[in-house]
Amino acid sequence: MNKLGLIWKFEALGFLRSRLFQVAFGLMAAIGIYALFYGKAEIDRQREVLSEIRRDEAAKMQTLQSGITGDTLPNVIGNRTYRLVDNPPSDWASLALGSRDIFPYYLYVRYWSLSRQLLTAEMANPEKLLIGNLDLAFVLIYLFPLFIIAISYNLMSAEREAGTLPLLLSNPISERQISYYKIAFRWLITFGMAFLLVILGLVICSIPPGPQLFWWLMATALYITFWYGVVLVVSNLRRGSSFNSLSLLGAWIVIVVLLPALINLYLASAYASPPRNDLTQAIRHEYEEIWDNYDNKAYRFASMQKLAEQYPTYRSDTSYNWADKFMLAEFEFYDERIAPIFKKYGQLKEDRQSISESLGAFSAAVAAQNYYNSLARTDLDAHSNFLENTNTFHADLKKFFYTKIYSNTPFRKSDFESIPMYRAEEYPDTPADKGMLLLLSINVLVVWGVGLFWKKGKAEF
Amino acid sequence: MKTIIANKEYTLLLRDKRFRVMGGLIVVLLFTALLGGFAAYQSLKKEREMAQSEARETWLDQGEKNPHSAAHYGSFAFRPKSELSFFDFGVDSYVGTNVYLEAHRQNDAKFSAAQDSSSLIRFGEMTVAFVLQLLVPLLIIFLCFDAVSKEKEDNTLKIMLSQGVRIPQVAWGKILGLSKALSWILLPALLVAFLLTVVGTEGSFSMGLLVRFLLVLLVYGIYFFLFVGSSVVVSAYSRSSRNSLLTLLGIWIAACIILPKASANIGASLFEAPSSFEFREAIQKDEEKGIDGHNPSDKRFEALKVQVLAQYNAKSVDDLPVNFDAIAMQEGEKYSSMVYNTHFDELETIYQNQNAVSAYSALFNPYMAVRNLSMGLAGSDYKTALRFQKQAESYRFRMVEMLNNHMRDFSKTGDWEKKAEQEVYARLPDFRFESTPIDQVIGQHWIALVALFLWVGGLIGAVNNLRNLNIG
Repeated sequence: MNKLGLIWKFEALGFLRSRLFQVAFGLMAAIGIYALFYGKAEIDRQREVLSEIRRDEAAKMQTLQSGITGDTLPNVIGNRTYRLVDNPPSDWASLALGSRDIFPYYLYVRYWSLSRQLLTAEMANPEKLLIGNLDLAFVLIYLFPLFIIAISYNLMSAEREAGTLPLLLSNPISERQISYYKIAFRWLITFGMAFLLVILGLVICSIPPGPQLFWWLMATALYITFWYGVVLVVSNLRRGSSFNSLSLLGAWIVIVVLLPALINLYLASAYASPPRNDLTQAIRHEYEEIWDNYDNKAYRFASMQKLAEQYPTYRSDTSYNWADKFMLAEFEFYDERIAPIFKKYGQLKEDRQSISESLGAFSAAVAAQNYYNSLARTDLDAHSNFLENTNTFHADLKKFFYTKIYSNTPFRKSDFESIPMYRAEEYPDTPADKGMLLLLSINVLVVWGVGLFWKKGKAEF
Repeated sequence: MKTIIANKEYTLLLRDKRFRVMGGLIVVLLFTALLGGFAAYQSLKKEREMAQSEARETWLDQGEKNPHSAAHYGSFAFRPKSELSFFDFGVDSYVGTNVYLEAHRQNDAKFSAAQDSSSLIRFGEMTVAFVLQLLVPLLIIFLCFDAVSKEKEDNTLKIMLSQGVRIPQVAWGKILGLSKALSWILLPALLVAFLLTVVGTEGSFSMGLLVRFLLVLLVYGIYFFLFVGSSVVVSAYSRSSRNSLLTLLGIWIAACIILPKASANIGASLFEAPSSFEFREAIQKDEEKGIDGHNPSDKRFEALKVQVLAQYNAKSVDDLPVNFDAIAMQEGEKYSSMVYNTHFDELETIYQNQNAVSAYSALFNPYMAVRNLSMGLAGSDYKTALRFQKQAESYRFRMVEMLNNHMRDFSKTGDWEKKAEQEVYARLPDFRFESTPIDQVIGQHWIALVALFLWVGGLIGAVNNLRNLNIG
């Protein structure tokens, strides 16, 4: 314990006097704080847009309601009822923006044909999308390893080059022990800084502390541990400082820059984004079919029969509002016909996602990024979940109006209260994928396994 | 003397194991990126061409129908891959690939590759441009960081100087020698890139493309020269090789990783862009109430009616020899198109302002200059994507206008049943995206070019200024 205290004390003194350390520490803190404010601004803006649409939804409803005096046709109300289906940012989204700027995070839907309302895209500046966001996750994943390299590339080699190592070793302590103590000290500094930034993030972005805090810190600790494992492996080679710095930076380039880019290249050529020609053609063609048969009485009748068979509650007569009933039945079939194509592309997307996740296991950086995004619910998974919830909600909304329309029930003023409304918190949210944390842990174990057990001959002085 | 130093540097470097290993790695990566990028380019290109011709076929074969139904049926515009985009994907993965063209509605381009990807795509795509812009500079740094500092540490610099050589000569010799060695790594890949470009065009290789390719070569040539030169200069000023390496790597990280992100983020914070919702709402409001707020749609409709009745000297729309519904629809289309374009241009101005922060940062960060020029020359930059959207919109307008005018002339007001013959559809020419002419590309990225030349000038000055270096 005494030895540990002694080494740490002198390490601390050395750091406090080192200009490189001061500069690196200051820079990391400054960029980290900028990243927090940037992430907050982006997410606040999304929240603002959502509450703007929420207000618009209420205003539209108010206008509609004030124009209605007595009972009215349910489809008249239905056609004018827009419902906001939103994917509000989670509390943690400000720290890892993930793909929130790429996927649409809200839909404004009406009760008929969801497939005609799903194909929206959020507008964004492509150049900004390309370059990505400078959020805390970026700082932790890209810049922290650089900080670690800057303060640890000469972990043992500095002592060796200054000639102090033999002196140190004349004490009852092994070279290995010294390097472990030194790494532990640096690990504490690094994790301490990450910890402070995260806590600062909680304050700045007003994030309520919850279990995610633990998991976020856990992932950060693992990622930092991974990089110190790399430091240990390189340090064990017992080469000079410049060799160490080159090797460590090489490792950074491979793990943070090269491997992810190579995986992306593979995905781009093997799983190229399809042009979805069949989908766009079907959406257009099937829609036209409906209108082509609009005046075909026999077709209309058959279509109503089909709907009644499928959904007995929608069995209806043709005496009243027949044209609308026919259209709504056709919209239902339309969605059914388009559904398999949507499903096909959804499946393709999932395949690509799972392959990219398993390939990402080769880079601790990718594993960590995936886990941060998963924790912050800003990944593809969260978006797919949002689309599923949209489906569930839309089915409710559709059922509400379809039931009234097909049973010839008038829409009463009091019914406004019972029109389904989307509240994100009432819908399921898939939990963060712990699998990615496991991948990260495997990376840590592998690199530390090599660091602890792979020994290279005796030290040369 | 310069050539002697250059030759010595060149020969030593070729024997250097570091150079062989890292150079070999870069060559492998370059070829991986080239072939992978080309494969992706070819499959996307084929798919989109097929999709476009299928869209054309369904348009032509849609059968007899009322012109307005045809306008609703509409068509598609697919964004073609530009010939050089295989070496620089640019923003291609982040913009939609096709636009549905229909009456009354300006749709956004849909289905971007990024929407199909996990967040992994944010780590960057391995393209030739990625290797050239990020990894080759690193290679240069690793090879050149001790160019002068090692001579200082070994005290060989003093020996050279005692023989009458001046430091700038030494530096120029180093730069020449290093560049020569470097070209062994890059030239084969660039040659293959050129061959692939020619193959990719399938026989339609043009002068413009050649100019683009040569400009790409020039831009990257300057970029590498900047890195070789500044590495040598930094190396000369550094107290030790280690300091030199740390400084250079610091510069690389700042210039290639942190600054691009920071400048784009700052741009986006300075100029706030509207959300899709706000954009669409503003358009809808202006269409209803008039873009000046005093000309609501029903008033516009009444005024049009009066004007058309006067023109044909008719008492009511039923007496008109033409279809008034079609005229009204066309006027509505014109108005909504004008409103849409106004708002679209406003949005574009915001995006351009956001991007200008990055574009101007090229003045102190050559990486940005090269990134923008490279995307621009490859036809995968934002401006090209924007051009596609504009051309798709004007094509949509022509389509709807053609159908409305046909309907106006061949039927009477209130007739929504009369069907147009199939031949009518062929009057609309096929959608063809005209890529930006090379002089315009240069005009769009002039800041980047100016920045590069300023840097070259500054660097030459800095190398020559080494004569004042105090080597102690």
